[in-house]
Amino acid sequence: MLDIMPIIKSLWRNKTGPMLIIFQLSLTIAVVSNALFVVSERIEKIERPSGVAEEEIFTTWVRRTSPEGDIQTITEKDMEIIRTTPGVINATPTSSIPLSGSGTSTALRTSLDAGAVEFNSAIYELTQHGIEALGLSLIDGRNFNANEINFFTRDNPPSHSVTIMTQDIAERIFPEESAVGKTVFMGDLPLTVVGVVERMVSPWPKSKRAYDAILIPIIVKEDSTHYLVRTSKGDRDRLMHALVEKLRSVDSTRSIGEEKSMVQIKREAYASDYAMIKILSFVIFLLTFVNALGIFGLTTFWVNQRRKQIGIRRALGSTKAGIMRYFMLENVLLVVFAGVVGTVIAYVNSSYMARTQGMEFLPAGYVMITVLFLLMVTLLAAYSPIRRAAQISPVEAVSNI
Amino acid sequence: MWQYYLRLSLLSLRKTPVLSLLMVLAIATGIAANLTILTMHSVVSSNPLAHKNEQLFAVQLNTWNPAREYSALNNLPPQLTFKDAKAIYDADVADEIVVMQKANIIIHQRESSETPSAYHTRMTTRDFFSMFDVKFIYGGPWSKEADKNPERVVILSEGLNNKFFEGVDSSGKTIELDGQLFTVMGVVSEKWQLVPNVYDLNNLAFEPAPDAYIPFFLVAERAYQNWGNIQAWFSEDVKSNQDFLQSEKIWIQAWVSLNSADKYQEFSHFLESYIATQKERGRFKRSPGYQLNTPEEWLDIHNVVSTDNKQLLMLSFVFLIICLINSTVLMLAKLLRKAPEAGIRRALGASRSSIFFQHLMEAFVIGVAGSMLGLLFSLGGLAGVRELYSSYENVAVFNSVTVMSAVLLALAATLLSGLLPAWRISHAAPAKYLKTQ
Repeated sequence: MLDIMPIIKSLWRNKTGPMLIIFQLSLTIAVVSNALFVVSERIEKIERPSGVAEEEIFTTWVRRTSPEGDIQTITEKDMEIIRTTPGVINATPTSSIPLSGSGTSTALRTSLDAGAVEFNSAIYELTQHGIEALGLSLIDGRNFNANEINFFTRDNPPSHSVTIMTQDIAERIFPEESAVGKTVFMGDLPLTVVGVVERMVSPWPKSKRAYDAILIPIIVKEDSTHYLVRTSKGDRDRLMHALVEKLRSVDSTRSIGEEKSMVQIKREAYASDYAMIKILSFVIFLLTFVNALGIFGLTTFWVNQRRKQIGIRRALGSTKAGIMRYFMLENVLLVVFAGVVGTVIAYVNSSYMARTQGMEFLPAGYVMITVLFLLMVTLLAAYSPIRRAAQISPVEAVSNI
Repeated sequence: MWQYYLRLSLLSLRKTPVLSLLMVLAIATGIAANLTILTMHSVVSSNPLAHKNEQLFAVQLNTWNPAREYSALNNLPPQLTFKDAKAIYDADVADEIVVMQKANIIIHQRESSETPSAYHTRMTTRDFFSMFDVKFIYGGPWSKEADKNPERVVILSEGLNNKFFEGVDSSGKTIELDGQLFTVMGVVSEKWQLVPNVYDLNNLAFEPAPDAYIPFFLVAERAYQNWGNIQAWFSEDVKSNQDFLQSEKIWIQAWVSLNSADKYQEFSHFLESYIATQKERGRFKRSPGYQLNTPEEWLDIHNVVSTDNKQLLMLSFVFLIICLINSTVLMLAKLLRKAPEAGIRRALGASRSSIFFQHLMEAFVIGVAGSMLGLLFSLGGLAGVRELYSSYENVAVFNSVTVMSAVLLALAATLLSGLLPAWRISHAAPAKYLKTQ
């Protein structure tokens, strides 16, 4: 510990280099800690549970190609083929796909009064096979019955139906009581709640209310629909292409395609987050590398510049370990100074971002981890030049005179 | 003299190959990261309609919920209802007017072996083609008449024309859209692509241009499948296409071209009086009732440049600074080691400024090498960006901004990383170094 004051003094005598390196390290600490924080935030966002069996699902898009084609007939025939294929767990037609970014949402009310509070929710129009096909877990009530499934045309809408809700929206509409048996209105249409599922993500995972969704068994006959198929895990990719080929070959009154696994849909939904994670991770890696280069180069230089002094110290009885300790301490001191400055920069930046972009405030842990990490990198980078310093023979002290 | 400096600096760099390589690498990494992000940013933040910025306006009409304002963008709905779109089209006040929607249509050509599939089709009025500078390779836009009394005419993209007509001039030929026969009027060059596609920022700002174009008012005949957004603020009983057209749902993008200040006034007055008459019918209860946005304002409202883009831009500059400091430190270390040599030169009569420029030259060589390597690295960086953001296919490509920046950054890198060390060494007192020799 006695070494510290002389080290500071010697750094101060030649301050331009050390000050620049401290500035470089502190900027690095600020950038890396912020980047680490953003990366972990994005990972957390992507890994939020969706409630659906992501690994086992694929979807495809079906559209009738002639105005005479009836989407109900098409769907029922195709579903028959899909469900009897070995490896398929279950399948359903659906109006929207979770996480896909496109779908329908509606406002739900508990009464038809003009001033009634509205609850926005995503809608999935699907059949009684939907729960199993999506892999949802029903925590209250029951599934749809087969006789509740109703394909209808716009000019002949049903006057009443049923619904299954996610727990999130059920608790919002009916706080502290079971939603099952209650009625909600979608527009003017009354829906009796028959079941509640634990969780299901809407088509818009980044919206504030990403888990507000309802399932309804009434399906508007449009030009197109999606099929959602759940298979056993290993069979997904093989079945996805095989099934679409098979369906394509049996019927030409509809076009079928755009098959995608849920994993891929999720990847696309979070594409910008994945991109940020990768770019920032790469930046962290590069910054570490650049700093290591800098430290290595600088330590090598310092050692070479002070060969004679090292020789004198060795001649005066300093051990190899003593020499190494001196240079190690020098590097530790640089990182410590940089840690202080870097923390300040990181927080100034973070509070600016929090104010202007509404971002979260940087937790202290990230700065600490970054400083420790950089300390390790610094010592590793400096190790080989320092070892060489320790090898300098005391003879050097006199050799040049 | 400069040649001599150049030779000296190459000599000096060769003496310390490792240190020189480290400096070049540091600068190259910083410049590569910076160029990659700069290029991406320059495209994302560009306005392809800048030359018409004074003249084109996206029309917003505030038909939204009296009880609650539109909750996104500039708090005005970005699209129009059919009745309003038709009213401003029929009024014929603006110099040019485009009302349109993005649709999804099954296209099929009986003589071709292509199976029928769904294509991205823009249903629009003909002014679209002049307003957004669409380039044709064959034929041209349909007539005004074809808009007013909608005719079954279609304009294909070059890609679709290659698919269905083997790339020959297909004007006058027929093709099936959703089971009905349409006559081809023209073919749009595949080179035509607005980046970002300012005309419709509802879905993806960087998606490819449409596959086909048909007259917008065909929507009055039958429902076409909408592939954009349809939004509503209350639920209406929609049983038929007619109900849909008469509803308060918003789904149409509208643009006008107003070529003079007078026209702008005239059109604003028209909108004000239109809104006033609609108010009597109980609509337009929010204020402001309308807004006209230039392309630049429109891009801004839609946040085409995301927070991530801005953050990355900032990050790339900090990154560059770190790399430059790193290179400065190394340069400083290297030059101070050479101080005795400089001391001898000074003692032999070299002036301070010649020592200064000699060493600045060395930094310059490093800077140029670093920038060139950085330019090379950024090619890889851009390929990476294209890989990461699939919708940035048109975004992450080398452009004049990239090359210009590379040159500027090389200069800046040289000055920033070389200035301080060169100054230090030129101001060192020669006597001190001579003594230790």
